[in-house]
Amino acid sequence: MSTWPILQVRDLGKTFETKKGMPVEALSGVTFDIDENDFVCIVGPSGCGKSTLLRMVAGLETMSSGRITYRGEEFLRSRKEIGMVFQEYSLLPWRCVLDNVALGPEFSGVSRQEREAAAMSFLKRVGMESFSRAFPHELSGGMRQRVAIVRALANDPDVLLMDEPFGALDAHTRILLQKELLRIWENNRKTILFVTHGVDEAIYLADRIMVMSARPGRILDMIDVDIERPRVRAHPSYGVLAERILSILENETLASFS
Amino acid sequence: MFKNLKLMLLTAVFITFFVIPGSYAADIPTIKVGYIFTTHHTPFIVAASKGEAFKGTGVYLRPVVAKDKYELVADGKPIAVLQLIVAKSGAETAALFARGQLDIAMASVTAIMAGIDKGTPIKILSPLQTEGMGLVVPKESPLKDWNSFLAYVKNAKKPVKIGYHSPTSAPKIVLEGALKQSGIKVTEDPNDQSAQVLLVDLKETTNMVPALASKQVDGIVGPSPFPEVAVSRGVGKIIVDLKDLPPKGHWNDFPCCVTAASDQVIAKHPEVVQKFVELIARTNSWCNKNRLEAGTVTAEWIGLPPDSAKATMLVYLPKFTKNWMRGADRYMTILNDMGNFKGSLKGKSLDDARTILFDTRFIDRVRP
Amino acid sequence: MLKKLLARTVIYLLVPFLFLFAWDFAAERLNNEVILPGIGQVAQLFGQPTDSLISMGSLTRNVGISLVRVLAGYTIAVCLAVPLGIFMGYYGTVFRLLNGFLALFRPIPPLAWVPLVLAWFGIASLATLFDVRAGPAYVYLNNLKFSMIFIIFMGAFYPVLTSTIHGVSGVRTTLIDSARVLGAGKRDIFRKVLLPASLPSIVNGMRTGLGVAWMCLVSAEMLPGSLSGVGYLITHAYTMARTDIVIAGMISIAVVGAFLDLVFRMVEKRKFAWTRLTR
Repeated sequence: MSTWPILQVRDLGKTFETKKGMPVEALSGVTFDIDENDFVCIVGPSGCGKSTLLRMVAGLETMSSGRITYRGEEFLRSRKEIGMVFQEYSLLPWRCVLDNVALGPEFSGVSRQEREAAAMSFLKRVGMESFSRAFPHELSGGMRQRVAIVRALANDPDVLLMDEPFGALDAHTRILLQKELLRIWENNRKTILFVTHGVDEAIYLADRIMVMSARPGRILDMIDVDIERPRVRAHPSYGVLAERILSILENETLASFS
Repeated sequence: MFKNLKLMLLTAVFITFFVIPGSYAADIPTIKVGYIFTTHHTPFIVAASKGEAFKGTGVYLRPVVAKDKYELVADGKPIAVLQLIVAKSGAETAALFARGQLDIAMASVTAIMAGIDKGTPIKILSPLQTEGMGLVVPKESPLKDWNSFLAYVKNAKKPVKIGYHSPTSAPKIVLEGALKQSGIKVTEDPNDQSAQVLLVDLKETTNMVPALASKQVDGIVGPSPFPEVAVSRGVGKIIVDLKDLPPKGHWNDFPCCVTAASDQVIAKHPEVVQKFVELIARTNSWCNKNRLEAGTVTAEWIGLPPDSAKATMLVYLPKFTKNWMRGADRYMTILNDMGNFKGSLKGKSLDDARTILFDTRFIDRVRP
Repeated sequence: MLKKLLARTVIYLLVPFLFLFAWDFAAERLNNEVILPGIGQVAQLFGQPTDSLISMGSLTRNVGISLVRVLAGYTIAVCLAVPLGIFMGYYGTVFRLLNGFLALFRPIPPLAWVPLVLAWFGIASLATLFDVRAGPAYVYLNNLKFSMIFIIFMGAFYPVLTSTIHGVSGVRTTLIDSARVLGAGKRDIFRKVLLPASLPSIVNGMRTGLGVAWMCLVSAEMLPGSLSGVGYLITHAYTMARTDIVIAGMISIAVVGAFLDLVFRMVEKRKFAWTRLTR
């Protein structure tokens, strides 16, 4: 186990300005550490700022206060060591699957032959090599997300951020992709930061679960998931844990209404 | 990709067609000459079309680009390049003069007067033709001449609608004058039901024949070629040649079109202006002697059906006559009465305005 | 199967057929070829499209001249509007700077520019620009009068500009974000994400622009100067009360316009099938 947390967030805050000029505090005093090869899920009530948090770690959003360090270095902009998978509409629709997966290396200046070969091997790992020339609009939602994940991985990041990647899919596809994600992760360990609405999903996937409060978001709790993998939903601890997290969220949601 | 294709095509077109221009004496002036697609401008059209055939007269036109550019050749040497510009009406001609986009033009005397009144620096140089105006009624109409028309008007229960193309058009003024002299009440107000004749402004010459065909008006009064077009399209028949209106001889030599030039070109290139006036005067005489051929040439140039040439009623005038001047004076009176003149011609008679309107030095120097 | 084909053909042809029937009926009743010529008369003009009409040259020649004119004005409009639109869509400052000003001119119909255009350009044409005064080059270049090209340009400019701005500014942010997290620099994002993403909108605008440019034809060709082009043919035929030529001209305009539009739509269909995803 490495001694250093790969990602450290200290006192992170973000304030937006509405159109009318009113300040809205989305995040406040967020502090946490992520260890290398950890699978951490972030759950929280709607509007708590979890997506904003992720985008700031990705370098897509500026910080209002606080700092983020990656391997001890402070950084401000996006970098290829930190990849991200979005919920939908992230594939370039005018490019075929192969050209999408090869996109990261393309930006790095890798030659066409090399990057296409590398992309093909990644596609093979998820059994999608026969779709290499297909276009995103010809694929189902689930397949598109698989391509998105593969594309992110093909760029060889250390950290993978995932913003509700399965949120737009139906329940069955979601479960399949959860399994697939774990399988990929087992073979190719990365640090994963996974934002989700689904408590069930979080427990199934994560080593640790970060629970956020309602707006302005801060970390309420960091819960270890001690169930052995592969996880089975029938496990007794599953329900207990779910109940615990759900009640925290329920309180938070009610608090935000008042 | 699409953009690039279009760009390449355009560049190719440019490159392909960029040809070194033909050898050209750059020191002879280019004169912009305006005219209208009407049989009234036959002398000019004939001169352009027949070109070298008029070599014997001493001044003729040599085509450079057919229907577009001609050299004015006098005494064997080209003295100017004439750039032809087709206007749609006398009013447009006057507007082009005002913008400095014409040097010489042929147009109706009333349009030129209106331009001079507004301060456009132009002068009338010589007459072009007279007559060529007709009163046209639908083909099936029982009317056949002026008397039957008068009778019809007097007995009509509603005002008889006669269309014209422009408030300052010669045909309208002639007809209006003749009607008033015959004691007919004429109006332009569509709400005046007590009038016997309602004159309707059809706004443009192009609307005349369709207006007659669709029965928007009961008759039209207009310049050549529209009466002829109405006849050849089977829409109407000419019942009155306006020069025959009573009192007899009164409307003879009634002015229509003239040759006019800008003060600027008169000052800068008087010798070109002189030769141009001479060309028109000589062609005028020729056209009077060869009426059918002249009419055919014009019909072909404008695109009229060839048989309309036979119906031509024009009389070409190589020089100003007393009748012509009297007619022009009548125009001025009528236009002043209508309140059309608000500028330099306001309240003036022809004699008063002679120096503002005319520059007769050129036509006076032309030997008959 | 055959029945289905027959049914489809009938549906497509039914309304045009009824239209022709109504025309024939009306023409016969009116019996006045100045108001409505018979179908046969108009069809005859198409049967001999290379015959010279009312001393103006043939139908085909005039349509050709008009086409070149429109393409000239259109090309200039596209070359100006697309880059400008990309700039304005990409840089908010540029947009705020120019949009208000440009928007003032948008509602002005191209025809309203005629008096100004005449005053500015007169009868100057490409022949004037290249100082070509005679010869076959002159005839071709002189047909492309600045005044007409300007009117056509004004017609095509705004649709293309608006669609380009819309396309560039409307690119989904997730696409740009994805590129950024994959390590793309600003140039890469511009060339490989922004431009391809906005291309369908741009091409769509180009299609509309061409349509409008083509419609400006008649008003543009009424300007004094050139005596050619299908727009002028129509106005001159009207003067001569040759309504059959007017209708033939209108049909020619319709056919060519539809053809140009079809070409665009085919291109759009083949190259932009992926836009279905974003709808």
